[in-house]
Amino acid sequence: MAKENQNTTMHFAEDEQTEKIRHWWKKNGSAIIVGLVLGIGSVAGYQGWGVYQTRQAEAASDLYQEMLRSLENEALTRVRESADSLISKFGSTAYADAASLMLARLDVEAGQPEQAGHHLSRVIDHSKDSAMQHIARLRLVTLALDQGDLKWADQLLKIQPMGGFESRYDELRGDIFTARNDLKNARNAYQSALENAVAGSVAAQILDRKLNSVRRVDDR
Amino acid sequence: MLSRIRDRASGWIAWAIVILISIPFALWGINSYFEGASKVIIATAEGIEIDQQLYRQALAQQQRTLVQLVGRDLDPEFFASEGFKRQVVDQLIDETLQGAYIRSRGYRISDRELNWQIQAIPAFRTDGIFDSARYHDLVGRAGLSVAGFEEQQRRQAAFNQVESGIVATAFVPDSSTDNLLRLLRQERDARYVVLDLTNYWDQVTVTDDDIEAQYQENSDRYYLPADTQVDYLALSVEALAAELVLEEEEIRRAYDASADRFVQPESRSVRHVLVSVDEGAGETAVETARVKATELVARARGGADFSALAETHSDDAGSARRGGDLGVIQPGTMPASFEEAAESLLEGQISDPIRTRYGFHVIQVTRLNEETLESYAEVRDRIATEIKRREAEFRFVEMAEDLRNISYEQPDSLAPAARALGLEIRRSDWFSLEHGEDLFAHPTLREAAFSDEVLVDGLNSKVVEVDLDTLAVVRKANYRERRLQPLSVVRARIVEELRTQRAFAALELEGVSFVDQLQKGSIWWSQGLIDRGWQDQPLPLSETQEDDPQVGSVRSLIYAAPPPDQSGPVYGSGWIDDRKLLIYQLSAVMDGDPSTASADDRAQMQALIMRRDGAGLLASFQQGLRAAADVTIYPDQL
Repeated sequence: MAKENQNTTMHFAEDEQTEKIRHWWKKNGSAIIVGLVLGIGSVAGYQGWGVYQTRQAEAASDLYQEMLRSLENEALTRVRESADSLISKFGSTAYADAASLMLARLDVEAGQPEQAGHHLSRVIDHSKDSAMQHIARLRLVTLALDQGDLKWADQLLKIQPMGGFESRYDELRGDIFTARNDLKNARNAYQSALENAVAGSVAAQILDRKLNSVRRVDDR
Repeated sequence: MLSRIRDRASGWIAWAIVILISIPFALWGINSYFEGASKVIIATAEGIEIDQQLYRQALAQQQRTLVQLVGRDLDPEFFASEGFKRQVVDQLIDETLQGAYIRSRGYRISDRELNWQIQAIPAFRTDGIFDSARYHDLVGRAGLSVAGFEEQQRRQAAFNQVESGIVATAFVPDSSTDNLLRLLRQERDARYVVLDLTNYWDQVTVTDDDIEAQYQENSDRYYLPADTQVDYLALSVEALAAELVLEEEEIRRAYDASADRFVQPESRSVRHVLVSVDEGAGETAVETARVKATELVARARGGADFSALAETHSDDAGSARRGGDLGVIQPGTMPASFEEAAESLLEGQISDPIRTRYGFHVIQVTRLNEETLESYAEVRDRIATEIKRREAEFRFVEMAEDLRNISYEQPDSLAPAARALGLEIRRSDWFSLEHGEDLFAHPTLREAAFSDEVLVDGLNSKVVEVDLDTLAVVRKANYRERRLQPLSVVRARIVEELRTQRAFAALELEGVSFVDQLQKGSIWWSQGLIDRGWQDQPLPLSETQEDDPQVGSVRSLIYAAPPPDQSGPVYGSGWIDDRKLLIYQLSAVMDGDPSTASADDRAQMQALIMRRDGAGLLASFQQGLRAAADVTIYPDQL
């Protein structure tokens, strides 16, 4: 008898609780559902965006590999085709930067430095990767020097070099000074380039020779 | 409360809770909940942690690679050195930063490309075809999971893309080649003398007072370092293996069980003449080629010299130069019809014309080595060594545990551990912290011998891992403090030091004053040399003439001198190895002439520029990654 009684109380309490929850749900339910849908939706959307990005990257990557294989086989027209479509279809990826650098190389080798310059400028102006920007800039300076356009070369070098690239920047500054026969400044530039170069590297050996060639008797 | 939750666990609330809990698992995977137990971090790079386990693996792997390359007798000092450890850490950090860079810049290798690259790795191929079982086996043996290996390959392949984007895109403007030719093909017209320090030895005197003074004032130099003698126990796989005696029966069984390891497969050396014809060529072209090939077969069978036929008639230019020789044919490297034909031939026999996609081949097998089985007698010792090694490694692991426990629990003597393990207590020679012989060439062991617990407390040392297969524990037997050597012992050394010092000063003074007079014009080069009895010589113009390494040093000193101007030759001096003084006269500097440079010379310059603007910029790029990154290394954990 006592047992049954207890059961009834339980029952009653349960009914009351269910009623409370129902009431609470009526008040907050829609907000929770909207919240959940928004939450799950944005996480799923974010993940979906990631999947899309990965797919784009892989498509660009495969095209890039194809470009490298064509280069290995010296099929230069096909290298150009791959590079062009990397830039037009996947312009915001890192592969587009490499494609521009590749086109610059092909144009220099085909005797068209001006076009090469455009490709390098594209990387300098549009790449999201400062390392690639610096590499393109340094190569553009060698082109400007090759064209004898010292002013342009000078202009391009007026920038704070990124860590790791200081030596090459200083070397090119030295080259400009040498071309202008300003040997004292050339010496200083080569000297500081040499200090930042990796000892024993090709760059260091060339720098050593450049520095020696601008020494003069009276500045010992 | 809990019981009520349980009561309702079948209701809709329970389901709601379960669904809520499972959302994060579904989105981020369960493993993020089980990571990050207690890891010891040795470094962080851009917020990415590198843990000690990874570092230890890298260290061991690098060590194995070096031992394989250089051989067992690599200086153990090297593996314990700061430099080596730092190099491994730097490499791990660079890899981590590369990984972060690849991710942030969106470099990504597709599954298709990854498969393709892995399948192209020769080690994973049998008979020229990718062999999945072999692949799994080899990866497992390297201590990696397949997923882990593929992730590693993917990262490597992605970084190769970064690399080729920089290296393969370098270019060389013509004017750069010219400039470099002017610079690197520069010639210098110079004459020089080299004066040896030892010739000045006799001109300087060293008195007893000088020696005494040097000994007193610089006594620090004449101390012997503190040294010690230890008693030690050494446990090594090698020694354990040497003790083992095997039953002949056991070796025999191992041989029988793995006999296929000792089969040398049949090999055929082949030469051929190719009459090439395209796969899609018209019928007449094919027929012409067939007729020509058939003729060649007839001439070869009729006794004509096969290699002469190949040289004059073969369209395979590479092998034609070697008389058609293709060497030993590796299965899977030739078209199937070619291989079938080669396999059916006897030694010396000449095939009918064989059609492949290259055209028609006439094939002869020049040497046939039948498949052979190495006999038991031939390989018995090798097998015995393998078995012993395996068993010894097993014993080693067990005994290592005991050695650790006993020598630690009874730190006042080596005897209990020696008795329990059947090892002999040995007495070492004297050695210092800086230098020891044999086992004590290993710096970690010397450090243990000089640790406070051994030297001060007189206890057993920790068990030291001398190398991967050797453990040792040491205990102090004798010790000598750092001590000044008596003058009588170091006298000869002091005499030499003083003489060298003084000869150096005398020679430098003479050199400087000579150059000074030359520059002022108060003496002439040739007359000055005659007065001093010195013999000069011209600097060889071209670097290829150098057989004497000294000329290299002379050249680099003379090339660092400023070029002469209208006021006449330039004079200078400089030391070579601190033993010899160079004095030179530089009369003229002639830049290299691009217009007379050979094609070879130009190609060489272009290659240099490509390297500087390709691989050189790649190095700059990596330096840049490192410079821009937030890197912390915890040296205590290394």
